Amino acid sequence: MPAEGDTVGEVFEDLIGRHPGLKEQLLTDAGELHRHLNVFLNDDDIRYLGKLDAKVADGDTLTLMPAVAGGAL
Amino acid sequence: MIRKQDLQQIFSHALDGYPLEVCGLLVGTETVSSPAGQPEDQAAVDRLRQRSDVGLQASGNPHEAEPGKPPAAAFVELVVATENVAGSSRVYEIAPKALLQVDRLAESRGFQIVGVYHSHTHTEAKPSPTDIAKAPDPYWHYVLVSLRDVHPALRSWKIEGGKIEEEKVVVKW
Repeated sequence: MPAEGDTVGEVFEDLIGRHPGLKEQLLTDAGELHRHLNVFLNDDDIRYLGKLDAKVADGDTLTLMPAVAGGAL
Repeated sequence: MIRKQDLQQIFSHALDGYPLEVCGLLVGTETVSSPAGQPEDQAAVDRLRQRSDVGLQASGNPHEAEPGKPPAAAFVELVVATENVAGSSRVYEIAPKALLQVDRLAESRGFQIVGVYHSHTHTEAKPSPTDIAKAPDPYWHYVLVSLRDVHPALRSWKIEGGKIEEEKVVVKW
């Protein structure tokens, strides 16, 4: 879906403004990125680009994917 | 449903990775389950039940397609082994970048990620509390391989809202 903003955080704010139910899926109560959510700016993980402060440009694509983990414990 | 060679790939990956847990992604298509939970090829399921060498479980508790419920069955077209970045005998974690790459590979072929598999080296092929707590998607199929016993065992589960439900594994020979 299309969204606007100069940073990933601003894009999220734009999305949440239009779809409030997304907030708890994207951010913690403290306003930080959920640990179990992976966000890619084009091909790069935003954890290495400044997280929510990562800059976005016209035409960039954000891909959201859940962390896939588990184990025998 | 999964092809025999893909099933063998999962077992081989699990055995090669021992004593560490291994993991990978299942790429394919979601399908509608057979009416009243009857598999299309009962003979194939019967053969499976008789095969102790692969230890496949055939559950008597299949999903049935209902409106509003996640699709019940998937056809696995491709099994993609991924690195367990946790490097552990007790936990697994798929690298986020690998997940993205497999998702794009699936999309490019007209498929989707339909599930994930991982091995339990010393416990049964049943989701652990960690597996249940971290299950990301109620639409996914969670395949577990147990290496606890002499014969590896493989079982498949749906996980939704903290509850697990076993599903049939049907092999295309």
